[in-house]
Amino acid sequence: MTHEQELLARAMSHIDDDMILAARAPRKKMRRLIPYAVAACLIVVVALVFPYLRTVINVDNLFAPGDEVNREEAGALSPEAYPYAEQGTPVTLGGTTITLTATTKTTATFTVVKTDDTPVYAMLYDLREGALASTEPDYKDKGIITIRPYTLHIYVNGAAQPVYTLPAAPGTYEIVVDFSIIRNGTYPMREYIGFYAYIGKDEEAVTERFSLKVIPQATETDITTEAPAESAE
Amino acid sequence: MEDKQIVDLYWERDERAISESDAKYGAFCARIAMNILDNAQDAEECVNDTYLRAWNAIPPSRPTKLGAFLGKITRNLSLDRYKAKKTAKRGDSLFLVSLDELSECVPDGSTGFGSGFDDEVEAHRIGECINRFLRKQSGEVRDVFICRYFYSDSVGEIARRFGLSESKVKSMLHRARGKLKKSLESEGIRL
Repeated sequence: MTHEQELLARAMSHIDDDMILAARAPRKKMRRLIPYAVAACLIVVVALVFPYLRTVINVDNLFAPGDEVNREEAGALSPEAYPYAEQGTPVTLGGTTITLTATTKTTATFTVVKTDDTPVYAMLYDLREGALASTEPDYKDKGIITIRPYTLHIYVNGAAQPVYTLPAAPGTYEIVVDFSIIRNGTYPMREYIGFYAYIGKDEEAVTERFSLKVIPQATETDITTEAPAESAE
Repeated sequence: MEDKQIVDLYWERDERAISESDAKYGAFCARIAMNILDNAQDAEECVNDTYLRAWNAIPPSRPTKLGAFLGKITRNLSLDRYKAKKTAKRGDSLFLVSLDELSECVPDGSTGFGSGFDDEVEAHRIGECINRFLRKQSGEVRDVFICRYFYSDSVGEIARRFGLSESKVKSMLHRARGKLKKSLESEGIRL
């Protein structure tokens, strides 16, 4: 042992008492607990995230992350299409005429006659208070939720159609909107669900409860609507 | 028995202080001595001398942490005995290995031991620097360092105690020594 070594060894004897005793204190076996702690955290995370994942899977991002999910209301208030009195009333917007021709509990069938290529969009509303879901991508930036594929199914003349691409070219189309996915969704909704079919950004034809109705907006004069009583076939 | 009660016995010159000290800290002190001396008989004698030293030191001392107090006495007595009895056979003892490691902390350009200072005073000054250094380290690093260089525990023992791999312990010690060296240099410690 050199003098330097001895000096250092004796210097170590001047370490404060509390540190000396702390180094010998019984160890908490934290490291052995870490795997269990990680596993517990994962379970908690999965438990917390799972309902949200279900929502995402079922309605495919109809709602923004963090939206409340009320399971109790989900089943009872899922949309159903009922044959209302105004069924069959055509709504004409510009060069497009839309008529609700048939409904089931999970589908609504429209006949769309287009004489021009003005885009047609669909919008679901009152999925929950203040929430709208539109097939029009631009609406996403306006605080309105954009429907994504598989949120609902749309069939055009029997062929599955991407939900955000309703037909634009002139022609006659039978459009079937299948709500079954939404019906099985796990999110709260208000008393009823409505379905808009609208043309352009300022004109809207509304199929509230699948009865046709017009909510005039800035371009009210451009909208021609036949009153149900007058147009009943 | 609580430390305070045992210290009171020393102050009352009650010989039960020795037996109570041995009952509570005998194994602790023996471990320290054994780690340095690597000889059971020498270690036992050191522990017995520890109680005698404590008997003479209390009073006037009134240690609040009797374990550390006795441990330091044991350690210093063991160092004395080690120094007195060192032989070529002891050249590869665990204690000497740990001393070799610790001497890495000696700053380069050292002027040699005992350059005009009393050894004990110098050891105290270095000890204060080490104290300040250890206070800045994380709890785990500090404890590992003390186990290695105060208690002279083997790396394997420390690894088991702290639930670390031996390589991790070696790595921690290596880094700590490097930092200590810089710390000593910054405080102008020249051995």
